[in-house]
Amino acid sequence: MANELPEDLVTQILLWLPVVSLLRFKCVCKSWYALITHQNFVRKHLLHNKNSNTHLLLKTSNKTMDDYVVSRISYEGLQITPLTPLTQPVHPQYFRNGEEFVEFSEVFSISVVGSCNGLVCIHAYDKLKVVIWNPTTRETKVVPESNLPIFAPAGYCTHIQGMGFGFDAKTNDYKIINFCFIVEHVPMTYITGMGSWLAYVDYVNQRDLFVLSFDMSNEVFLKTPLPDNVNGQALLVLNESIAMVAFKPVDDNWREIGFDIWLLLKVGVKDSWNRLFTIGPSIARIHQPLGFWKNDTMFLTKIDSGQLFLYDPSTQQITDLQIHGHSDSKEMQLVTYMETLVSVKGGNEFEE
Amino acid sequence: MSSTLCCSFAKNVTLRSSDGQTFEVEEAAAQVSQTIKRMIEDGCTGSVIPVPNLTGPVLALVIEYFKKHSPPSDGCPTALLEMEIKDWDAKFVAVDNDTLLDLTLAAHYLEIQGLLDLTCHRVADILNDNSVEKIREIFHIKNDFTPEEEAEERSKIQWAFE
Repeated sequence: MANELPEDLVTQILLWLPVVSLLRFKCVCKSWYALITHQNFVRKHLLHNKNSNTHLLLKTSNKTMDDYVVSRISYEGLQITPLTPLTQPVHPQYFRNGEEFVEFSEVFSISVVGSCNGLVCIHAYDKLKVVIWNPTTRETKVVPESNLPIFAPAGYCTHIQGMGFGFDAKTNDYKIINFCFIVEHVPMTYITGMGSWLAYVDYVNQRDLFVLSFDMSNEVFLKTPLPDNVNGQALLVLNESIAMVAFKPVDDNWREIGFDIWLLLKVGVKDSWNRLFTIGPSIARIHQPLGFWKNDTMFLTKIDSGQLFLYDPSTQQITDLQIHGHSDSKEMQLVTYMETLVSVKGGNEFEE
Repeated sequence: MSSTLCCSFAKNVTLRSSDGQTFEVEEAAAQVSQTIKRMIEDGCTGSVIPVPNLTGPVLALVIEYFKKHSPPSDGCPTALLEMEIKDWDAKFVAVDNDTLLDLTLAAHYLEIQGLLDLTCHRVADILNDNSVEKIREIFHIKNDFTPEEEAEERSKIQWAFE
């Protein structure tokens, strides 16, 4: 080659490379090292590959049910990628506080809070253990335990059960939200800059069920009521919007149920709920919706075996993906994440 | 068909390479390059536009690209045409490494976003299959890490080299 490439041209070229190659190419020379590890390049690479770089992360447990397993599923081919298996971000022992003996159910309490810009947040439901993980660079960070007091009314909850993870564009950093839920663990759904949970308040005669959203930048909560007489069961993400799985009783006695899938077009606006489609009782009886694939197809998991299926609402057909979770469906989580160079050390680490 | 029709009233410009070769090309086609577009807007038409960073053979290739990518006169590229251009693009950058890098530099200098994306993507594909040592060779890069520094860096991400 006759001419030396100017640095911005080297940047243009490197933007097209996958993360693993970039990690290797840090060793080419010092200027490439500086370029690839620089915050600006990391951000450019993230934006450049935003729509082409998605993978699915499946969290489940192993056969003997004493350990958690993370697998990467290719987004296009929907197959577990055996050549580059994921390694556990931290040993399960960490989540057990180093205790040798654990309750049988304890390991199952490890849950994926969510993923954002290629970082995945994992925690143990009933402990304050939080780990941030970039599955692509294999970097992990154990988040220091918060020394803030837990703001729970006296006599109420002592367990941290609602957890959220997201990116605050204002401070260019990541935030973890930790708050109390009174009864059960509620998974978070994340769309840009906002985490949402299905929450409720019990009154004497009725339960008020709603979507509780947290704006990562402004640090305010927003409430979206559900459509009238709709029994929300879980939140999912579809096309950067909140989708909801709701029970649809087939008869008055609730002996048979199906699922209605709703889409929320605008957070905070009750009238912006749209019903997309219904999953009939024959499928709903033994399957649970787990997430969306390519905007119009749904992942289902078989309740007793944790097998993964794809459901096409237009034909109402299901396809067995030949992927097994080993455990029952409650322990399975399917999260999309991107391959990025984003460091677990925090958004401002390399800022000049 | 439409392109031959429009030629009857299309304006041409002349581009001159670093080694003095001149090429005549339709003004609309040459404006695929933002750099040339600005020069035309600044009143360079009529005279010869110098392109001092490109040799004749490279400029000839770039002009081929201009012709293929000049905006269609009816303004609406069909899906079929887009596919044909995509195939043509793939063949256009299936060249030896030195020519590819010359084209990349040309796209950068002449601000041809489409060609820049095309060549950078192609270069990245070639890099992706190569070792760190081979990349230093392709780009004539001197390894300025000490052996200890390089060994340490490699050991941190040993798995990426496997």
